[in-house]
Amino acid sequence: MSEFLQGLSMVSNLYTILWCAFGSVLGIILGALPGLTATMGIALVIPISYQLETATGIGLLLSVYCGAVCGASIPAILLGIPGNPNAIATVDDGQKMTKKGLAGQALGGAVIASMIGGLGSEIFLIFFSPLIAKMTLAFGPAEKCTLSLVGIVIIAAVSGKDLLKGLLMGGIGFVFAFIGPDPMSGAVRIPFASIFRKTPIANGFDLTSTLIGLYGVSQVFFEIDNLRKQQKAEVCENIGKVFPPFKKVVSMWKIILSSLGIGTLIGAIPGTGASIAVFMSRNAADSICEHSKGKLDKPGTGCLEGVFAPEVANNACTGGALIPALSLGIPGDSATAVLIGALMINGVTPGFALFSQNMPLVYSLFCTLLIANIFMGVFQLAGVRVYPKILKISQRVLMPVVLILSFIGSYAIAGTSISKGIFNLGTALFMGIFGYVMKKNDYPIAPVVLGLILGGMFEEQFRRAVKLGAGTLSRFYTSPICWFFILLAVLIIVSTVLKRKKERKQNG
Amino acid sequence: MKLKVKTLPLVMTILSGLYLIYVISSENTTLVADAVGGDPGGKLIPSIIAVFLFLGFLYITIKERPVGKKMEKETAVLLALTFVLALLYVVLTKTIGFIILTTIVLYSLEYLYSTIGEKRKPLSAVIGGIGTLIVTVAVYTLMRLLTKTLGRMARAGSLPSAFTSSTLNAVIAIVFVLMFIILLYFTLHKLLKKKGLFRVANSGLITFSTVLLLYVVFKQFFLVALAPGLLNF
Repeated sequence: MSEFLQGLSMVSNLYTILWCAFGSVLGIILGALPGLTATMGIALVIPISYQLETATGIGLLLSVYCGAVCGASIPAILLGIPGNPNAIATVDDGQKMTKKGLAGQALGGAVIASMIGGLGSEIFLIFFSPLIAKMTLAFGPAEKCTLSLVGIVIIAAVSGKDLLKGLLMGGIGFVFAFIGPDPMSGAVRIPFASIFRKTPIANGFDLTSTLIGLYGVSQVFFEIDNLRKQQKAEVCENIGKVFPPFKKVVSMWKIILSSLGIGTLIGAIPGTGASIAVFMSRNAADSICEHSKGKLDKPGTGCLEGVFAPEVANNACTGGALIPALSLGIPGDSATAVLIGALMINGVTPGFALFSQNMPLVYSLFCTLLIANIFMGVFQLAGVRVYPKILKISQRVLMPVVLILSFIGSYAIAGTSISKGIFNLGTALFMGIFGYVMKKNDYPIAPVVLGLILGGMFEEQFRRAVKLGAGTLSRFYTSPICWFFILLAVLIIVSTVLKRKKERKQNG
Repeated sequence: MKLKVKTLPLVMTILSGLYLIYVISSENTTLVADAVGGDPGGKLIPSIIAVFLFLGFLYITIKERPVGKKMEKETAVLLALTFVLALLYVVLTKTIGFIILTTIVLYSLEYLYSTIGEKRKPLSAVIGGIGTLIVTVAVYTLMRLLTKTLGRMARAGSLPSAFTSSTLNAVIAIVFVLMFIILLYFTLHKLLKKKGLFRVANSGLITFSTVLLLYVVFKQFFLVALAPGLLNF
């Protein structure tokens, strides 16, 4: 109880609350603007979060994350364009409701559903993450090494169309992680070491600048292609009544519960993600409506049920995805991959150590997530009539500002050292160009991030395990946990290959 | 017969090969004071990864064929200009400084992007850019002068000691900048719009606002050492 109170006191101040409020509004705007993603938003606010108290900084990051997931429903409903893949399933009914003149109810319903999803999944997060983290007590170097391998395989499997390309990008992330000091001996490992030994690169790539480069700078380069094609979209401004009828919301309790369960579960399984959960919850809602004897409308007809199901599910995924992310350090998608990096930059290393040694911080994190979800709902509801105007902001105006923000962010992380700031600028630009070239050629960039985060850990734990096994791999093959992780990695690879083959066959 | 291969996987194969050579030829790093032995050394995992990357990219090079989709000329020009401006920003920040360089780069990009597919007016764009730079530097100088004077007066006892706090100075600076943004919006921006220079006016105002607000947030609130460059006073 005292740890909970300590955690609560870390966030119960005006400073944290204001930063969470700012993060929520920023997240909603980022989620609402097509082309700007939750991942990019998290990457861009890392430098600010780094300047704040740890709990406040994490609150800011989580607020952006939750806000962006929820904000994606705005263009999905008003324009028929999802702000990000999480809102794909909202488009159908959301757009139909807009055409019926019920845009306000669709937007209001989406916000209420998002709040229910976010807050509901947090209960699961609070309950399950310490339990899973406790399981990692049994993990030695060999288990940690294979766990990081699973992390890479998962992100490679989910973030692109081609598994090999994903794995290769993970490998490149490892190479970036190997640049700098050897994790065991401390010796510098860089090409042309005699030249670079005294430069900041001798300490390896700066994680913040890398994240900002890969998600901020590269996105600007990537969007240049789309700037030419850009046309002014017709935004519905006649919002109408905002709150859906209370009775209607209550009557959808089965849909809400099933979507909450699906969203949390799918979010918690690394490698699945919200884009799967939203369709599964919509299907579940479909079947619930079929058996409702006409009390509920069928999704697809432009009804609240079709908005509620995916919106509860995609926000439930945020709490669900944080379960493996916080307890094991394994992300479910690119946004949580960047979030793990951001937490590490803020001095929070996910895993058992966090839950055993820093419970007040864990509780503060849960509290900020609660605040983030409440603010997300409040600000999106309050701004229902303002956000349509934001959709009118042209990407042509936004992209140069994003580029400068990316540069300033990577520079700012160096604090008072101008030369380190310049080095960070160079890193951001290099990673931006690298990310752009890779994205243009259909290579996913999320595995690079995870490779960079897990590469050092993988190598260090591997070497420790081999050393403990007196120079052999015995620590690996005698551990059932290692076998489980290795089999899991193989299973993910095989199932992804089979899934892609099936997709290719279906597409002819 | 000319063999057509995709450039990127080919380049990545070569780079992976070079990385493999580097890893193999570099000295093995083992655990310090490793009396017991058993540490496989710092070359093993990088070598395995290098081999995997080399073989993986080689496989893609052999398997995939170029599609032959070319980028449109204006997009390519815009991309190249963005690369060049971004590179200049990295290289010149220390010498020229945050305020001046960010103004130049941001204004250029704002103008270039907002006039995609339109006939550009180079002379008015350049004059607009110079004007934006002058206004930004002038307001920055006034803002610095104001906060420094308030701090000096507080230290001398003419004002309450709260004025020496960097947070209060930052708040004053942000109010000062916001006032100027509103002032410029209702004066210069409207005037330029009336004269048909809408793009120049917009680019200028966005640049002015972004540069000074970012300066206040990062320098005044978070005390980040933004390079002063030419404005070192």
